[in-house]
Amino acid sequence: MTGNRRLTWLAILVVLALWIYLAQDMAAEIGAASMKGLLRVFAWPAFGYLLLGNVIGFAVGMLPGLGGPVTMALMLGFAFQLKMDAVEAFSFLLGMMAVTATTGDITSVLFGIPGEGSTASTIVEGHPMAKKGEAGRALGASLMSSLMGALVGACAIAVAIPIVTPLVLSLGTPEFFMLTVAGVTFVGALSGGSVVKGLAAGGLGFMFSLVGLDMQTATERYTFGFIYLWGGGETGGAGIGLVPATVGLFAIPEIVDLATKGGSIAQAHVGRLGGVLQGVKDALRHWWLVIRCSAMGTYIGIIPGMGGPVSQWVAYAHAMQSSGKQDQVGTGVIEGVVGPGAANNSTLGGALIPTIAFGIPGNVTTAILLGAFLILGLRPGTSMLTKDLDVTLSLVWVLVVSNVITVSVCFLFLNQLARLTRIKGTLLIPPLLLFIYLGSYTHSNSIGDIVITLIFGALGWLMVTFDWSRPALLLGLVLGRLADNYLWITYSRYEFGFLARPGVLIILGIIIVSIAYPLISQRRRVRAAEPES
Amino acid sequence: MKRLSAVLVTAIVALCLVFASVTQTVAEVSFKGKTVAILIPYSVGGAADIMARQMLPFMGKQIPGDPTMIIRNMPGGGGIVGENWVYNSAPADGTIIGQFSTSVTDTIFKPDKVKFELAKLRWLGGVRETTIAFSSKELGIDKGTDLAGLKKKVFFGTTSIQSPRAMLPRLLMRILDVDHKVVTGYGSSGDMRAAIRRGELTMTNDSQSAYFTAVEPMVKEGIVVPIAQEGTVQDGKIVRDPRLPDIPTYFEIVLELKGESIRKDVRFRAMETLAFLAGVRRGWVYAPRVSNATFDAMAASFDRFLKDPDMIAHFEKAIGFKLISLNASQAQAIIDRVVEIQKSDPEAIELLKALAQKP
Repeated sequence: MTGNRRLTWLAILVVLALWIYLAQDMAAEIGAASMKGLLRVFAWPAFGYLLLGNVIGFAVGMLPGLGGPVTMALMLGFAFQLKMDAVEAFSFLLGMMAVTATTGDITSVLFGIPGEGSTASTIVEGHPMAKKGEAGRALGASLMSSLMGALVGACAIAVAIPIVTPLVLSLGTPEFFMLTVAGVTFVGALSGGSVVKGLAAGGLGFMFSLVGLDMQTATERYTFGFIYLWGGGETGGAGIGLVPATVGLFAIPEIVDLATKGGSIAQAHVGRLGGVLQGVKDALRHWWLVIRCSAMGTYIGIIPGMGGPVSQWVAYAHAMQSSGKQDQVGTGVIEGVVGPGAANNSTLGGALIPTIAFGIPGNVTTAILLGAFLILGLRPGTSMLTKDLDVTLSLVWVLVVSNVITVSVCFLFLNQLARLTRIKGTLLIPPLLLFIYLGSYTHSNSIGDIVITLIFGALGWLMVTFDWSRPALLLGLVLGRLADNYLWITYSRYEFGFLARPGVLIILGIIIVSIAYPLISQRRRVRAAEPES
Repeated sequence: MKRLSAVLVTAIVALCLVFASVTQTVAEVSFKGKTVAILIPYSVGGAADIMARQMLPFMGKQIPGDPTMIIRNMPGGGGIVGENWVYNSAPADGTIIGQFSTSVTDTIFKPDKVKFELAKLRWLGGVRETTIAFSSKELGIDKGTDLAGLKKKVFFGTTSIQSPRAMLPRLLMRILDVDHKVVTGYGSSGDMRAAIRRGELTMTNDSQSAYFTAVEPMVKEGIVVPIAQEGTVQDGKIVRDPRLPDIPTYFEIVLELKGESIRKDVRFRAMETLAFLAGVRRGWVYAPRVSNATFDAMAASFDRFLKDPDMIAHFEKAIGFKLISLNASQAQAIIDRVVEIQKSDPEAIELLKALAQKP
């Protein structure tokens, strides 16, 4: 066991001991409420609604662009029309949401088109595997890691109950800013062959993220007179939507490639079911990576403003960095499929924690769920952690049961799904294009969405042609606006005093170590090799 | 005398005819087989969108012909894209109803982007809501009047410097000479409540729905104290919202501390202007070219809809407080007053514009 691994285990044991100490009074209560919650999820008609939610979520996840949050907002009314009670409504709504990231990975792997905004990173390594005829293995790994990620995220809710206040409130905006900076340092890991090109791509993404109405003073930035570029929220927002940009960046070059090269997606023979089992084994073999990425996904879910779009890229970068295969980006590295697959599924569990405990939704999905809580007469806060604890824990069970069911069903059809990559490109392109544009259009129901998709499509094609890193650009796009926003709040509240906060200094230390450690160890290796040579 | 009776009879007959024709026209307006859309100028899943989706099932049955009701989202420009579209491009047959939240303030803060005239929008009804400012216990004050003479610096959180909701507490602190800093950039009021809990902010304000569901528990926990409310417009006056009878309005606090003479101060007038601007918190509107008959029929439908006990019960369960609605003429009266203030007190309007530029 390396020193690193030993230290991590020690940290886990300390955290566990602390949790047991804090939770000792509540453990029995949590256990009883958990059983009650489980029974309520399996009671009829709640279980029926859960299955219905799973079916809808399955389709929504697979269809490119059409996102979970939009569908959930649309289904909200349906839940109340049927006069569902709290557990029934959550079985339906959360059951739908819980599986979108799981099935979104399937589209990403098979077609190189993100099924969800939060599953784009699975494309980078998953799709090259599909092209090599290893779609089954990539899907097996992605589904297994998704399941494991969802379980970690769900368990995090139960684990968080006794320690929710320090967990959610210990870090403030200055620390969020530093975490974003930590995320930016991952650009190096996503750069592929050339770090300079990677940094330039990341910088370009950062610039794109600034287009829109600035969130502090509502000043127009690079909008060129187009109101579309103001963004769609009630207070404006990002001018370049993540979904149209991601779909354009990844899907359009893939379609162009498919159209020009001819043939099918899989350019090699598609393996049999054995590939799927191999993928499952891969995920289990990298269990420690799965746990790390799930923990990252969960914590990123807790931070306001972040969510699946951030956690997947951070997890992907971490997976590639820790695998030591940064020079093989985009060639089908299995760690790059397993890491984000786990992270994007655990994020929902994390985002639910502040929503339940304080009524503070971490992202759009939980904001809609919060609306549902209120309509169903549930008040987030102390009562959901005491009086309504069984309802809270039923949410945990919905996440677990939905993912177990969906992943099991997926495994039954994986072989057939993997064969989709053998269909002739000319037959696949028209429906794929239809879904791409439809999906983009749902971002803000504007023709501007299609234009953004096309512009980013052209950019994506150029980047592929000249070997520039698209993940680095997307990481810049995702983190740029957050960094800008957090820095502004931090400076206007604390000015430069924020640099003296312990949390900021600790994260800064981690950033320095994470940049310096690989460089130092590389130098050591070189020095050690010198005398021999 | 005979001539007089003849004139009278003719007048009565003519009146009856006019009345009959009007009622006939109203009765003729029917949306049978049509689809009526509530246009939300924001994305799916926002507060305005969710509220509309909750109310939608109760709307259709009150409208002549029981049309199919749908929500149409047209986000962009913080609401302006949808507002401009309803006014300029929506069909004139009454099948598009805008549900606006910021159209009134947009005319002041984004005049170069607004492509509609506030005075010409036709209001079908609206919902009355107030906003409430609250401060963390850290400040060491128990009520709004304690702000005078406060020694600690206030860190007041808001989404954007242009947020009309934050301007009332900002003006209050200016009038009372409270040392304060406006911290902008928070994504939502939930983020600001979290910032209050962790000591990053010491004051912010929130909508009435958020107050009842999320802030009141914090008051009970002893984390925050309510400071002041915006109040609501009733019979042309700003009064305490009847649902929050114990929280004073900003105006009461200022008048108590500064006396009646403060009424002439431009900052006080700007505060009053803001309260009127927010008089119709969420309103349903038609474009000016929709015919009078269609407008009258829909206004009557909205009146029935807003009085529907099933809808009220559902709304109150969902939002957690009593619904106070405005019918077409009440909403129109408030908007008329806003238009009048915009013309009659340019100094107050200029102050508000300046506040939207600098903290």
